[in-house]
Amino acid sequence: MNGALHKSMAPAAALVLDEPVLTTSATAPSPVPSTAHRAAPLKAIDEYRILSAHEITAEKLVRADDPYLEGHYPDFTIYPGVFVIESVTQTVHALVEQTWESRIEIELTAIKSVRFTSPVLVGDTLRIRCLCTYVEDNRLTVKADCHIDRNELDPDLDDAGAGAASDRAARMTLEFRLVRADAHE
Amino acid sequence: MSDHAHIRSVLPHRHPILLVDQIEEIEHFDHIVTVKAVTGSEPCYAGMAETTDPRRFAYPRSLMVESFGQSGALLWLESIRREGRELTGSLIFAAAKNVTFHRAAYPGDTLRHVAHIEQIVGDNAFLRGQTLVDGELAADYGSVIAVVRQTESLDGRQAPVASQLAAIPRQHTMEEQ
Repeated sequence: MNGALHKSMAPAAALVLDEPVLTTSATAPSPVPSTAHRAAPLKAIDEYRILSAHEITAEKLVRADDPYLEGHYPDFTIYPGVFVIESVTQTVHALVEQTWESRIEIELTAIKSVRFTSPVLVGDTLRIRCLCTYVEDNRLTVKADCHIDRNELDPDLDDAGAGAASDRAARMTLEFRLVRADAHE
Repeated sequence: MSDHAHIRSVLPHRHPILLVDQIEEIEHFDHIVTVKAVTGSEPCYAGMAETTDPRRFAYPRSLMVESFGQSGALLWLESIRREGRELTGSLIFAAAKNVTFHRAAYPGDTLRHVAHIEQIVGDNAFLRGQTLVDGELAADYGSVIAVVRQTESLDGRQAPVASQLAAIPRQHTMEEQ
């Protein structure tokens, strides 16, 4: 049955998109609702800020009681690398919701490359910056840079002077397919 | 064939993020075939808005990758153990390249991972492989690097030392393109 479901879903039917238009002028951080509209291991961003139709930033405070973390690992908690990818995915979703038609969903089709350079631990704030480029066939290429603000650093440090206060956690290039979300609703 | 207790004796992951149920086949230092059953009771399906769109229940691809990575780590750590050695420290996903997704999995599906060791360099394992669902290709992993790093003090707290990750020989790293 799932095989039939899968076949009925691809390819996206005649989805033609114009260049994205920013439908919101909000530049203040927008909170992310706690109710998920699709399966996800956790709410992987707390808030986001749209900079342009192609660029977005987001933040995620890593908490010990985040879903799944109790098992990763029981004696020393690390935010899994795949969750950093999930954080980027949810950030891109927020941008697509605001800049494309509202009923467009994204589907991760490729991790072209990802490199994790520093562990993300409980109390760290993950800061994500995504640059999205629309390519042919309803695809979106995303270059993402993820940094962490360490939880034990001097709180007086200025965020803007991120060089001393922040480590790079990961860099990645992902590819998404844009699909209509309303086919079954 | 291997029981779940054995998997828990090799992998450091625990519920609810221990994402390998069974080893179907293993050839040490070469390949492993594992299975993971997807169920609607997993945490990734908690707190979802009511919807009639079945596509929204697609198993998160981030967790599919995690399940594959754990399978590769299982092969690696089990192979080393067979030689009478143990790696201690934290198991970390260091890098990946050319991972492509081809179909979704849903509650009731079984993920079947086939992971191969390409090479082992020190405490770094280079893996490749595939995930199958109902015999169809669900994901292809061109290259995945897993590493074990010692948990030690970093500015007063326990952490894997990031600089050690950067110390992976350059020819084996996968820089951004």
